Amino acid sequence: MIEIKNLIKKYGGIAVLDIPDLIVKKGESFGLVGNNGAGKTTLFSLILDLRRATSGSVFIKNHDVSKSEDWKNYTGSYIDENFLIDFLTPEEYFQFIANLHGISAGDLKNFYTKYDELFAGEILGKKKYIRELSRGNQKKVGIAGALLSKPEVLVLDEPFSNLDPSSQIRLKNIFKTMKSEDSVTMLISSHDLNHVTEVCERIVILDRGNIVHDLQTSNKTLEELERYFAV
Amino acid sequence: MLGYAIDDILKTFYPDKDPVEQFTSFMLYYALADFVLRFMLQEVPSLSIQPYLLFPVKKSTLIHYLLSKTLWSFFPLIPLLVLIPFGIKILSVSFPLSSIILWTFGIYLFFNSISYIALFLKRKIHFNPGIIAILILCFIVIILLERDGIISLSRLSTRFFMVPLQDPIYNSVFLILFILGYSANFIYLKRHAYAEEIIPKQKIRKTQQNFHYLNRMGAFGDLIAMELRLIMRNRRIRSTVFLSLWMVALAWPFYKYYYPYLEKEEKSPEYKESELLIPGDNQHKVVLNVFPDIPPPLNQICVAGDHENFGNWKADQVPLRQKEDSSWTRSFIFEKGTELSFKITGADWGNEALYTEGIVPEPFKMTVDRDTTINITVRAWKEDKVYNMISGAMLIYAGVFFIGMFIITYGQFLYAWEAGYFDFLLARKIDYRKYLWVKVFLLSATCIGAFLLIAPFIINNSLAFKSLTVALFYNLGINLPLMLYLSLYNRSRIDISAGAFSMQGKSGQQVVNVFILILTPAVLSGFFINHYGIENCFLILGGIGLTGILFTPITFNAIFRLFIKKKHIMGAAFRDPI
Repeated sequence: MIEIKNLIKKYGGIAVLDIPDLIVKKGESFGLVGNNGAGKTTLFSLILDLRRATSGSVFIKNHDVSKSEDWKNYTGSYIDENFLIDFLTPEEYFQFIANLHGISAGDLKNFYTKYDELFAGEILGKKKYIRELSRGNQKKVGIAGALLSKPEVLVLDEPFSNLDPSSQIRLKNIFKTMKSEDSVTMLISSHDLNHVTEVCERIVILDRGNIVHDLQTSNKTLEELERYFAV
Repeated sequence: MLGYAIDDILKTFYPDKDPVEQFTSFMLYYALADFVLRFMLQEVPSLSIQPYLLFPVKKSTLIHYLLSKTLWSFFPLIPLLVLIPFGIKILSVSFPLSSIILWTFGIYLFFNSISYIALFLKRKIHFNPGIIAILILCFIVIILLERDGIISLSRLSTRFFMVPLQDPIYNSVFLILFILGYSANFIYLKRHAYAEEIIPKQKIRKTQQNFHYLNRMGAFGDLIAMELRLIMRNRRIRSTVFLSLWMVALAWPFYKYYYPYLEKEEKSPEYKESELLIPGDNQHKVVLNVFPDIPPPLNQICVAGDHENFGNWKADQVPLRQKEDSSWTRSFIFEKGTELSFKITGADWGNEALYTEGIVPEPFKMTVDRDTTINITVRAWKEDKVYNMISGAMLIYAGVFFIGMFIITYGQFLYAWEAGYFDFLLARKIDYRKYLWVKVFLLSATCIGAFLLIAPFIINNSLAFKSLTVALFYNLGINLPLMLYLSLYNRSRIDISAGAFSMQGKSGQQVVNVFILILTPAVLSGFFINHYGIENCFLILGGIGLTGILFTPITFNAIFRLFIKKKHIMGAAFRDPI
């Protein structure tokens, strides 16, 4: 589904990301962990063609993301607040995305019902602009926006941060259902080792731009990760 | 500079009046405009003390500090910048230095009290579109009353500002106003000194701007709706709209005072009647016949003289009528014994009639003692080249400004306004071609809108109307694509939640852009007028604009490709503000 070849991103001559080869299979849930500055967000930005790679390419469904825009049809993503149009109400924001993807009013309604629990009554019908919502609620809007188009590929940076405990659990359940029912290819980065091992079947540790570990999740993974980061 | 030259400017347009009187007559208008602008746009400076409320400083000290900050804002200083040189040059002739200084200080206080009153009202009522509607209505009523001569704000203004100049004791009026404005704010703030009370809380508003008509237009409509929301829901961007509307409002007095032959055509029925007038007892008929060897440059011939019927030396108030045989005529009735002194003009003191080429004549003098027909042959028109060039270029400059204000203020940051969600635009399925067309469409719509708002006022003034049309074409054909291109290089992240006059993200580049956009047509028009005359200049500039419009699809494609090429760099700059 996603293929990364010889991807290098340099800032001022210094490579911040160097991934010679990485393949994420269809339906795989891929967790990315690493300390600050490891290059997680940079990698996601390159996958989403937000930044231009110094060399190498990213392919989604065999299309080079920097050359074709096809991948936007089936990729949902949320990196940070730069993905939110903060002077819209959440409804307007969702409507805008729905229009972009040709989602019908009925489907949009279904979407609202489906995520009603996650929204916890604090997002819809409040007549508030997104910029007036709390950080956690903003994040929910962003993630829901990424899910709205029923993507085949989902790219989320730190989806659990800023969320309250109940929302974190609800979000985890949503991810699990998506994995089992819709076999969505998920790329999730997180600082929370617990969550990421629970959701993802494959975990990659990034350190200073390089892949240092590539693990299939088992009951020992969490321990392994904790040992790695304890240093 | 303006202050130093202001009496010359006033003399040029009002040769018969005392510059001090003229100047003071404008001041109340300025004060009114200042008030409205402040009320609409000025930030209530309260947020800035919030962090200090926790410090062991007396609240009243904080409030004094807060209020004194307004004193140094830019607006009240503008009149000072004009007044000080003006005072040195003109007032020092007829008034003692001490009263000039006191007066200048008084005016400064006056404009500050306006600022405080505006602030106070704003604190009291917050931002309410209804209030603005009322203010605008009051403005229109004042203008209408003034026009019909029912009240005269200019005379009131002269009196209000002249008296303290003559008798410094009256400066205390300004002082009292200032103290009133200041203490009103002070008392209000003192009473409401808790942060949550001072900070104007945004009430829950209706957010249902649905744009149903746009929804039916598909992706294009969605993008327009979004851009409209972007403009309406962010104060900083909204202020660009206000500024553009303000420009449109300024166009009216500009064309009325700067190009006063505005209402000439409306007066035309009047002089046909006067020809039928039969002189009564002790009255005589005076017929003026003018035979120009060369047609007048503005296609107008007027008489200007020291009598009311002759427009009190205004160059363009009393036009003559053109007859079939290319002579011009008009008849007048005067009391017996009236002493007259007059000149023939081409509707402008820059275009005086000459009876010997190159020599500006003395006025004709005569005493009305019988029915008289005066035949005047005009050999040439003064056609002050520099004067014509400057005033023609000024017309183009102003037109481009009035119509293109939105291109300048909003277009500057066309993409940077969206810095906050540029990543969304990059990662989502946005049709960038449509995205850019929406911007073209919006900017064009504002130009055409501004044109339609101004045009009815000047439709009778063919020169002004032509210049405005040329300015419209030029804006649509040249400035719009130019701004679309230039703003690609405006890559500082704009904080749209900042206040209306925020300077955040502004740099010298914007000044350069404005110069490119506004000065180019002005300089071009000056050049063309000099070489080919004003009518041809309009044709050439209009042609340039029209060509630009016709070539829009091509320039658009070039800009589109450039946008695609630059979007990563723009995104990076917007993402990580430097």
